[in-house]
Amino acid sequence: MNRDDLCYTPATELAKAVREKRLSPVEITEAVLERIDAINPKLNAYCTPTAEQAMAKARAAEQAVMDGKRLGPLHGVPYSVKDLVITKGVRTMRGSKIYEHFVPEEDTPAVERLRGAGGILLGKTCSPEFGWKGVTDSPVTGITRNPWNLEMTPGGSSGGASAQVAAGLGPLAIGTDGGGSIRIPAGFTGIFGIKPSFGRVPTYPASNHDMLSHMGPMTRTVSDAALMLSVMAGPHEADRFSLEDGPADYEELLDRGVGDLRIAWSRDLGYARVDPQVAALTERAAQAFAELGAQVDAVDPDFGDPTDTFITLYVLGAGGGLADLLEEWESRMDPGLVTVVKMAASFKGLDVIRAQMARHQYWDRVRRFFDRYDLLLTPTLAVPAFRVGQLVPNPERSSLRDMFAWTPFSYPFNMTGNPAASVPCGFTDEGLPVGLQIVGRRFADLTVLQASYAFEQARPWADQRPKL
Amino acid sequence: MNDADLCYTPATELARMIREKTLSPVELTRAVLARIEALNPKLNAYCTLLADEAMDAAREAERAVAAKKRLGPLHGIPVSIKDLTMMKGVRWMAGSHIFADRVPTEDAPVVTRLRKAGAIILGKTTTPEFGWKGLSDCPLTGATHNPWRHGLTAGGSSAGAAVSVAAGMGPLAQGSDGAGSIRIPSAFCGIYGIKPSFGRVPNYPLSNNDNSTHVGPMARTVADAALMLSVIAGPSELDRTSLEARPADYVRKLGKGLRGLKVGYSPDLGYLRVDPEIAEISREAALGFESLGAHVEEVDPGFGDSSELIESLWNAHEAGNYEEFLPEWEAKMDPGLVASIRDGQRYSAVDYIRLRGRKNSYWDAVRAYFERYDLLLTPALSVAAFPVFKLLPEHWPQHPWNWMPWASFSYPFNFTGNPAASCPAGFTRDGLPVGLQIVGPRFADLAVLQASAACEQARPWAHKRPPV
Repeated sequence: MNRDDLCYTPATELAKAVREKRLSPVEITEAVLERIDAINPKLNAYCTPTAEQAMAKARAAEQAVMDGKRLGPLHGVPYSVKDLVITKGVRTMRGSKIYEHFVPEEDTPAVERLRGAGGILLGKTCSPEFGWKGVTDSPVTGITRNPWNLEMTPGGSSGGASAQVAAGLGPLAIGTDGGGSIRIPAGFTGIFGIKPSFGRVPTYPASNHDMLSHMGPMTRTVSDAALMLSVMAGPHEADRFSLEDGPADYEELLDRGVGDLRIAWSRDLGYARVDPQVAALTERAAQAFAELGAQVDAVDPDFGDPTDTFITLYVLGAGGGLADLLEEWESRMDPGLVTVVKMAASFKGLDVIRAQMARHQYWDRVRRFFDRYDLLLTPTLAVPAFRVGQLVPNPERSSLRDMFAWTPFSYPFNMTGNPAASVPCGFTDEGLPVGLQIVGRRFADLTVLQASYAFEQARPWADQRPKL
Repeated sequence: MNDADLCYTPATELARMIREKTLSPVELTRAVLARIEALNPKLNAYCTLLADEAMDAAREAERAVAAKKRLGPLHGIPVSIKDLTMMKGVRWMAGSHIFADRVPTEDAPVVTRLRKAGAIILGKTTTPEFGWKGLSDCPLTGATHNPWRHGLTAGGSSAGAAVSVAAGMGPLAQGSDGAGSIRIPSAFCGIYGIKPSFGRVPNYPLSNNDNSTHVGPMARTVADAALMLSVIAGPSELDRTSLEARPADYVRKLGKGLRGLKVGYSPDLGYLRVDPEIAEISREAALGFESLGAHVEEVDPGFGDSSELIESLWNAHEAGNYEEFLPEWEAKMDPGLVASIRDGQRYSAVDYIRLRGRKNSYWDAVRAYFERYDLLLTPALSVAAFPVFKLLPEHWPQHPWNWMPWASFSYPFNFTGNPAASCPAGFTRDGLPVGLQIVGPRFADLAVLQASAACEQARPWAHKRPPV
């Protein structure tokens, strides 16, 4: 296998090859680090690579194999962590000058678990400042680019993660998703990403984002995500909202098919404006589920437009906690984020409580829909990737509402906590990837993974590589 | 058995007798209704009595027994529903003039489950307006009296629920607890009440108070509460915060005992004022765990003083939820609630986010404690019951809305969601009941029930009846 192919080999196969001593963790890690050296300068996916620690860990992993030690499910497999997520002993800047030199003393539980499963940390991936927006550039790390077209954004806020995975700079990435931040970049870069059910993967430190934040895997294949999620998921006392039960055996149960599922397809949730190419590609992808034997109905799910409610929750989540930092840091912060912080300062307490009430009511509509359907399909995004350095596809219109107008499909399921994934479903005429969103019932992470897997079998995508 | 004895027979026993046909559901319901008719005018536990419906249901239950139908675990057992909980076709006043004529078209899931288990619903029990305080008076339904002494408060907000159980007007009552509202009246009335883990019992419509409200059982015996909890617990799509996991078999696993457990006893959580007699009685009950095989240590759990946090969050939520009613209804609302709303109006959204950030961090202190101890014991309350219509006992500093100072052992576990029960611990020299609070780790409802059962076995209380 040449080194490029090695870098594009799924984690499931790498793990198997390591266990069977056909591949050495050192060989894998060297190949990936070499590719990062060559390609990261173009993309800026990693903001803090940890090459030396990774090599040391790889050598220890190799030794463990040679010694016949018991190996974890990710033994010798490289992964990355988004820079919003704390990693023991590894700088965690959160895309901000404020945390430029912050080195946490503990791991978030998911990182602790990946380490424990034998994974090899390659480094931290770029995020906009505190993950505040759906594109990736930050005052401390600059611009991150899309491997399919370097002029374009890889999306955000897990933009470094998506660029990394798409470009073969590591098969596994931890992303976080408070309004679409796993699914948006997965959609823009042609990879798989799943925001699991709220509480499935413990988040720590607790986010003060009103239970909007989720952590999940970003990968090239569905099996890789299933493998990674089965390691990351499960209750942990550090997060009091982490779910009580351990996760299902996602990887083992993936191949179930969709033949008996009732699936709804909504092209616009009743109110979104979608780019015609995106609409056509996602509509065709939805039809693939009918070909796989599922009942697919085109519907208007009639959830109502939750944008105003979400904007209140989002502004307070993203900006409310930063008000005290403005005085010292404003000039070194992302000006767009500063606007959000100032907006947060104009809200009353009553506005939050009312938005929370509206959110409860929104759930009531969504759960009624899932009485009738097992899955909801939508486009992941309203548009394909647009130019870096912009907040929105059309820079003439860049209000907060415009910012959410191109991600209308993702944030509803942060409000409700339903599991939701983005699967690659084709390319625009300009060669930019397009994603289909698959949303499941509360707690039905497994069903979402199974449907994603069925789609992947029918319309495989992982053989497509960006030219870099 | 005379009627009073029948009315004081535990639900577990009644259910067995009905299954064995030694007791008819009609006979039982008639006896309980007769007792309600005799005592309720004095005590005011029920605000809406459903005598005809209950008798119909009892006759139906009797026919089911005769027809050898499959019987639910609560077949023929009378229960009451708190008037904050909705029940199809029955006026749902929530203790407020504003909703005096509201009639919902759906059952809350707890009602659905009780019905399905065969329970006979006797009626709705009183609550202060919107359950805003831990006391038992209400602008709409007037004073609910403590069965142990007329003229004293029964505590709240599950006021009527506690009184109905204590006075033999139904063995089981559904309560709800947003800052102590199951535990406070249980302690004042000498009964058992458990606030299960957050999400254990689905709550619908969801209370809009940042995940503070818990639904749970109130009963005279621990086994009765375990039986009722096993019926009402478990996930429901109606409540997106309801837990995924199924409940444990509380009933069969109740007798595990305390042997080997490491138990901390905190007389004051490090900062609370407690009346000396209450301190003495609860200390004796807590130290009694030692003779049951547990290792008991006096501890300061180090949670820190959170009184400012509860006061501000409580009022912010009251303001967000009820401010809109002030212009039209203020004169007919509880003046204390009005004062609490007015206070809550002053908070900005940024204040709210800061407060919630502190609340999130509070969990970190509590979970650290439960890494070292299996259980935490505290007094349930700082005082014994005091005159109804007062917010605070006469010998405590008075305040226009802040009733929390004497009830501050409760709300910390609404912040965190830990399961917590109030167990009868004895009586003051004046003959008023005193409660011991038993708090368990996240999700350890079974452990709290088991400890409560052990405590009950060592120092049974259910044979004590108030002088009504």
